[in-house]
Amino acid sequence: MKFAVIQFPGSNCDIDLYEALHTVCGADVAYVPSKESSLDGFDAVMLPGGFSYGDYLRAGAIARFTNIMPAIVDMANAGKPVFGTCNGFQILTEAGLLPGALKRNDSLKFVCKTVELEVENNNTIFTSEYQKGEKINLPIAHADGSFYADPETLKQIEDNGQVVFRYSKENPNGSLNNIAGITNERGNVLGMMPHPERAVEALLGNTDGLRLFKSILDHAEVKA
Amino acid sequence: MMQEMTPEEIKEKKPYLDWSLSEEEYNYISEKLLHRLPNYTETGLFSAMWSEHCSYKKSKPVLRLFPTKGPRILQGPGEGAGVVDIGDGQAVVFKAESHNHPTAVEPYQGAATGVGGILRDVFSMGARPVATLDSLHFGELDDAHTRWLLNETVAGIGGYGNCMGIPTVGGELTFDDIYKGNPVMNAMSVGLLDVKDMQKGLAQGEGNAVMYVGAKTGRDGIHGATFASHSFDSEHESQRSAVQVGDPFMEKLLLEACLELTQKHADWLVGIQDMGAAGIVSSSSEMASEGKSGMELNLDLVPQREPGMSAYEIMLSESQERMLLCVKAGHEEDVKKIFDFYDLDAVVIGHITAGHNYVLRHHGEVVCDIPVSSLTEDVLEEPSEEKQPQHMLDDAAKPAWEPEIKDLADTYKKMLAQPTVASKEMFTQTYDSMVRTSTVVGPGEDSGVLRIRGTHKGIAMTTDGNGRFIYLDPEIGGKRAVVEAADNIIASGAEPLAITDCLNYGNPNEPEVFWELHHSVMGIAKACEVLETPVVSGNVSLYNETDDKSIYPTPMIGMVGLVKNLDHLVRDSFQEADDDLYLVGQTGADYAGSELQKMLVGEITGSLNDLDLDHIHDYQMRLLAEMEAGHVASAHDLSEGGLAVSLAESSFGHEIGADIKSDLTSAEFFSETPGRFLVSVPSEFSAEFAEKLGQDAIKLGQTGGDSLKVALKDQAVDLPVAELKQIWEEALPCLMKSKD
Amino acid sequence: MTTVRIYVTYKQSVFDPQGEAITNSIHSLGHSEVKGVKVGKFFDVTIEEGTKPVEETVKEISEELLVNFNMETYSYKVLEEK
Repeated sequence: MKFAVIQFPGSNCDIDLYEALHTVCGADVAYVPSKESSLDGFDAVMLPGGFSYGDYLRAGAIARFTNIMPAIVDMANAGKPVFGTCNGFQILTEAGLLPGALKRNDSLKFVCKTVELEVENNNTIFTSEYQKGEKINLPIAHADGSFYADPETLKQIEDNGQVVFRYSKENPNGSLNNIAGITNERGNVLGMMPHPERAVEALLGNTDGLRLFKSILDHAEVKA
Repeated sequence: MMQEMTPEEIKEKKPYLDWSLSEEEYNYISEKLLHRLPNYTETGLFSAMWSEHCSYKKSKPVLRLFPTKGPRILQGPGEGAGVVDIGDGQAVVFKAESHNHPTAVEPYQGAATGVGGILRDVFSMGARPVATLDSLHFGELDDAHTRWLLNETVAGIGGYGNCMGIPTVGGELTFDDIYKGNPVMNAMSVGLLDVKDMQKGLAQGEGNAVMYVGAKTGRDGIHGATFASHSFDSEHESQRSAVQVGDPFMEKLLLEACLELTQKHADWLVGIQDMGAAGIVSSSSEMASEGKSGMELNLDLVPQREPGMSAYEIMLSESQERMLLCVKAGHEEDVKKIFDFYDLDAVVIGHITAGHNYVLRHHGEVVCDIPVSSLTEDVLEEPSEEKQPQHMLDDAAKPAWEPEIKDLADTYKKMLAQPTVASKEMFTQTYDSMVRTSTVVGPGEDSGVLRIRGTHKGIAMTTDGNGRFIYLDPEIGGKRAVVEAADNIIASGAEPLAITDCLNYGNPNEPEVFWELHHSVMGIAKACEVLETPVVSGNVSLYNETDDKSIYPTPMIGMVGLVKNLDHLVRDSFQEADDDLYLVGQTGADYAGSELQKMLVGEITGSLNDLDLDHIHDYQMRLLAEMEAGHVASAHDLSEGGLAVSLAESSFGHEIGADIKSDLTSAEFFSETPGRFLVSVPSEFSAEFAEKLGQDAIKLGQTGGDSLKVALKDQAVDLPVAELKQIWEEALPCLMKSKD
Repeated sequence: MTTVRIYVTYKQSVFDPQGEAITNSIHSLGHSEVKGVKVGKFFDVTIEEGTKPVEETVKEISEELLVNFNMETYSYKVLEEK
């Protein structure tokens, strides 16, 4: 299984995803600049955190017009794993691959800390290694992470079981229904504000994010 | 376009006086260097390059006192940043810079561009910046303007660093009314480099190209360099219009493009330098000077954001996110291709020439033709008068202040709520401290620690400045600042390597201020020699005063250390119950300038006790050896609030209490004698630790429980850790919310 | 050339924390008559006439880029025509 880590101009957590997959998980992974237009040969695509195009206009708004986006949409439509964290999540919503939008945090401030999440749905290719209802801790680091969707969309997301992670102790940004991460209807596109790739090594104090990457790799093995 | 003055009009009307060039300097330039009158553009270039900010003409004689060499030092002061060998073909690269004046005027952009500038200094050396630290000194928080300044400054630091994706892993934030009108904002950047990729700000080789890369030039911050060499006067707010606006997205692209060039194609490159203060003129003339070359630039080729800019404006613009390269002839297009990929301008604006002249063409005319060295090397050093501050003599004649602690529990709680002591988390959590996943220890501990990928080593870094001590006694205070930084590095289990500094002082034309500068540098230099931490880079910020009131002399020491084995990294917090607690270092009656004095008396007075640097260095090294042997569970240096505060802070992390019994008095519990540590040692290593540290460690008791049980010579308390922690955590959020 | 000012604001039902914060600080200045503030942004767009009606260009760029219809809406006015 080969992962693509997309590098948009202004991405800065690209190395974090790459190292988590390559060095920690031993997976096959390569960087793909967003100027490229093909994802041939890749089985999964990862959209990193950062400030694509400086977050100018809206976080993720300009990145969705890059050359690589049609190929990412094709991957999503083909049912392949598409994962976005932080700015990656923002890009996926701006591109319409995930419902809703990410607004400025209620505090109006950037916030970097570790928060507690509940795994709401472990029946996805991204979370099969977790227990349903399990509490995990993951870092967040964002200024625009307040999830918003209109009431109808929100109900659909909830009813379809698309909410995968929910903030369980405190809501750090004002997200509706404490939503921290959601999938698309089909379940192969996951976007989340927390950073699992920052929680994969004991040296850095947290390994709660590791099983997300293991889940994707497991899924690949089952399929193969 | 405004008609420029003729050389004769300049001589007559003396506009250069407003640009901080003195009549004596102007005459020297005309008569001795050029043997003619400089034209308008040339006069502007001289005024910028001869400013203190670019030339260090006032501080140079003092800066020569710093030790700058050592077995690990690959590059000392004079380049973009200092470079220190850390083995395995790698080096750590670092520098600090002040942005006090821009921050006072427009705090968000002032702080943001301060961070942007120091990052460029580090990546101009070919290094990837891996961490940022700050050092902030502000007025008291009972003032609404100060709260606004602080909020915006912190937002600016975070706004730039977070977008660049460079973690902010440490720093300091203190409060004193003296900084009300002139806050101190210093930023330090630390980078990593494969030694083979090291670059310099050098331009040479006739025919080689001078290339401009990055953002376009606008009329930003014209005369920022001279602006930084002026003091503030609240009646002349309108003159404070020199602040630049930062674009961290542009800088991120510039960083990646420059690193691609320096890491993969260094053979195309002769040299590279940031366009910082005084923009194109300083970078190009310094590079030519370093290469002992002539240079000719065509200003019509400079990418410009606004129409109708004069040669003077183009040369002195301080537009951000720009770099100057010297590229070998024939590789101009190759370099351009790299920058094209990042959608950045990369334009040949001139060439290296035979001879030694600095020639500028604009609209087909030669607007400047002067020797390179006249801008960079011939600057007149300014002799300064100095005089010991009167307050020192007055203080020495008075009896020393002896604190009286009536209610230990009450004093303890109040101390933890002092803004300088209280938790800074509400600010530090707005910084991304984890991006690029190498942060082992983030903000809030003695030093920030990063792992070095591909090794099991780490680098520890800290910033320390305490103006109060330097004010009371510049020389002893200078020593204390370096010892404090070394304590912070050692408390993490790291070996101190070298320092960078930001020397923030008042108006050096005041003899007392110059005396402070001179004597504090003597103290810093002495401590650097004894502690074997040379000065590898630095920056001077003078004229920090408002309405003739100077700030405390506030040199910031930024120190970097090496953790040889991350298995033996040591944290601040108690790790387990039932570990033995030791106090390392002797405790004396050091109350002058202490947080206790400020809290109880409301002002800072007294004389400082001198330090035995050799002795401190000796036990610091023995303590470090015990850490590197894996015998130490936690270590926290003692600073503001002394043992009392360190004990509390060490208990907060894992909410593990302690039970201690000591002959210290309750006043001594808060004493701030430098060179001390609170160390917890697992019982199996305790005997060996005690033997190795000998007289320099006193056993205090043990960790454990959920309260701090403290039995001192005169009083005893038993306070729940949770209660103290709450006081410490809530103090700043509460003060920041207060309404006038 | 026509310059059009396009205003982008949150939809009515979307919580606007900046607007809240500004309202509170206006109240603390004593202006209790101020009942609410909504924060938005505007874009001054200079358009060359010819190929298509200006309104059409405005609609297209707003819908494609300037506005996120999940939470935002827009309006515009023509500032000047030369």
